[in-house]
Amino acid sequence: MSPASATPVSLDGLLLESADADFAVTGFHRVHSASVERIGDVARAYDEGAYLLEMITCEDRREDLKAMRLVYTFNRFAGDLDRHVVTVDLSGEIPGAEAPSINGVYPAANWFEREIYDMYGVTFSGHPNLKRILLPDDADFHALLRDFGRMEDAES
Amino acid sequence: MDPVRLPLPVVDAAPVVPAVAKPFVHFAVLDDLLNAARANSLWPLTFGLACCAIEMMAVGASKYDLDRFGAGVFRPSARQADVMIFAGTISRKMGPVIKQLWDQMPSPKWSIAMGGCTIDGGPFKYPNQYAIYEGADHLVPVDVYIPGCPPRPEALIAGILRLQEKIKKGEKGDARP
Amino acid sequence: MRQSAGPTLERTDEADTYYLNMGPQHPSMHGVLRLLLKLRGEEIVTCEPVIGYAHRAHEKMAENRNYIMFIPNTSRVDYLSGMIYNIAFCQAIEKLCSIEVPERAEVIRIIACELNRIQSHLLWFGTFLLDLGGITPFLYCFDDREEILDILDRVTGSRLTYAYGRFGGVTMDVDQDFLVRTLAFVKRIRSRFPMYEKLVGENVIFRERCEGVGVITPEVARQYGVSGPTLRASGIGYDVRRAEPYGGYDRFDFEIPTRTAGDCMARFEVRMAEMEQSCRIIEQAVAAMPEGPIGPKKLVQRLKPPEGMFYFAVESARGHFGQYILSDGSNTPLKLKMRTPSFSNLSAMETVLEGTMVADTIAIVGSIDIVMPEIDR
Repeated sequence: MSPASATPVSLDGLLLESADADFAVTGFHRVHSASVERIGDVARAYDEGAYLLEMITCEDRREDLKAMRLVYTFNRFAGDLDRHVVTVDLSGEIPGAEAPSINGVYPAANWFEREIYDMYGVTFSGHPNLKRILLPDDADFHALLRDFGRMEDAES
Repeated sequence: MDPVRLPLPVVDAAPVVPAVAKPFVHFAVLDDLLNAARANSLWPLTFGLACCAIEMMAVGASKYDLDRFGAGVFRPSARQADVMIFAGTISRKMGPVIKQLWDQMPSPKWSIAMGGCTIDGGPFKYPNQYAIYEGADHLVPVDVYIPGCPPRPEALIAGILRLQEKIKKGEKGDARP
Repeated sequence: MRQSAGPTLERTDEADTYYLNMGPQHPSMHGVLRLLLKLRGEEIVTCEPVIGYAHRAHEKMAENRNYIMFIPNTSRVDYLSGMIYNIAFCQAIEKLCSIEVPERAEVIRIIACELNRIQSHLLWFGTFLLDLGGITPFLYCFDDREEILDILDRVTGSRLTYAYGRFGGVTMDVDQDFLVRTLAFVKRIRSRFPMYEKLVGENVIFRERCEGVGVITPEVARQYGVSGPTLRASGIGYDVRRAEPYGGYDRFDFEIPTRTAGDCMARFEVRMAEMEQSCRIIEQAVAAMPEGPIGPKKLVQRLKPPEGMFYFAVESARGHFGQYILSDGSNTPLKLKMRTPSFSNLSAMETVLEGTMVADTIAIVGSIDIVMPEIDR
């Protein structure tokens, strides 16, 4: 598919919430949120629109949301810049929340999902190779969880 | 004709050589000659870890030219190298690999800790950190420490000259526990 | 480190394959990359890059300290384009907290970043040729590169790991000597390009090793999120400096070099052409250098960022460097995610290397220009 054939994405019925964002302030054009079950469909819709997956990351927001939140950003090469962010709230144990993998749609997701598994302990169902990526294989912690490795917790 | 008498070097004076490593037979002149040869033909291992590796490359390249000091022959294999320059942060994942590489190097061998990370963790050291070894000497014995983040090429050259002095005196790096 | 073939030996169709482990200590693996190659003869069946050997916990450190304390970390994420990363972090925080930057500081930043980009491409050029067996270009490049380091060293006090940016400006003003030396360098490097072209670009051995090797198609580039010169060699003229101008780049006239072949040769040509474009930007910036302050009138004592999600992207020497910041209104980020270009570029290797020869691995991995600590962060 050539980038010139990029079309606007049709996300009807896939999102929980959707809003325009001020690009000059936030760096995003649209801010969406989706349910964890529909993220595969959302990714497929972006793929059909010839968008690329810029990154996936995760936030440990248990203090205000009592949950983990996945953050996907999509962008496109062709036409004007159009950066969308899709947030997905996860429920469940921390660590150990689950989400479906979008590796089948975007191969780029492979390493991003492995990194989130490594750093936050979120498991991605359907991922072909879900193992630690940055930390050693025998590590017994998830490094970016809020309650791990805080400087103020160190014994002085 | 009387044989020429050379003064014997005082081997026992070297404080870092433990008792077990004292040579049983002293080949004074030959030892000196060998040490001088070793000091002036150091072969470092081609092995960069992070930022310092770029400065290590700069030292080997045109402007600084490590060949002037006999230490410019970077060897790709640990089996052929006799000095290991730790050039960069040693992560927890890298630690066992470094230990293995060090064990693969034949004796006599020396090591240089280049940069803050290999001295004590440098800028990546903070209370409760999880990612790095706080210093190369947690893994292998270190002969020369070079401060800097990264050290300038001149500093690395000074470190290599310091190591050469050490070798000429007969201080063996891997003799320490 | 040795990897046994394991149970795959039992399957007949896999019987003639074996594993080859490259790295993390390998003379041609840039830094501490490890590739686990499954080979049939000399052909690569699968390739699994193993990363994490340079993981230094930058993102955890960002959560453990405030924005100002994080400045020195930034240039160590990607030490070859350390200036770009350093300035990019400052620009992100300026945008987040709505801090004005004086025009002179912006122009100084652009000159410093473009010098840094040339330096990074020069180092890539030298080491890429070193990987392919040519030592001479390495010595020439480092000679040119040292000149840039000297120029930047004079104003920043550092050769690689700069902490030159501050929120709202830069630390030190540049003098007339800096501008004169910068222009002299541009003249010098311009005179070197024809030599590099003759020495390397027209070299038959080099062309044979690069042409048609490691082709990245535009579709693969999109699926993996490939960016930077590697993407532009695949025919997609996407450059963050043009797509979402930041830091005053929209004031300058420059082209975005592209090639359509997508092979190692195209990536080589794109980088060489990019150095010329950086020279053009530097010339315009030096000519347009305004007088004035280089920092904010009042020192930024305490940052008060708004709450919420925030994204800021720049074009580093390797591609799209994005910073995702989650702020709770305090002067410490709840989350700072660095979207680094080499991470995505390298992840495409599992597709690109499949079916190629093991001897081409060095050329292909070398040509995408990776910096390991930037991938592992």
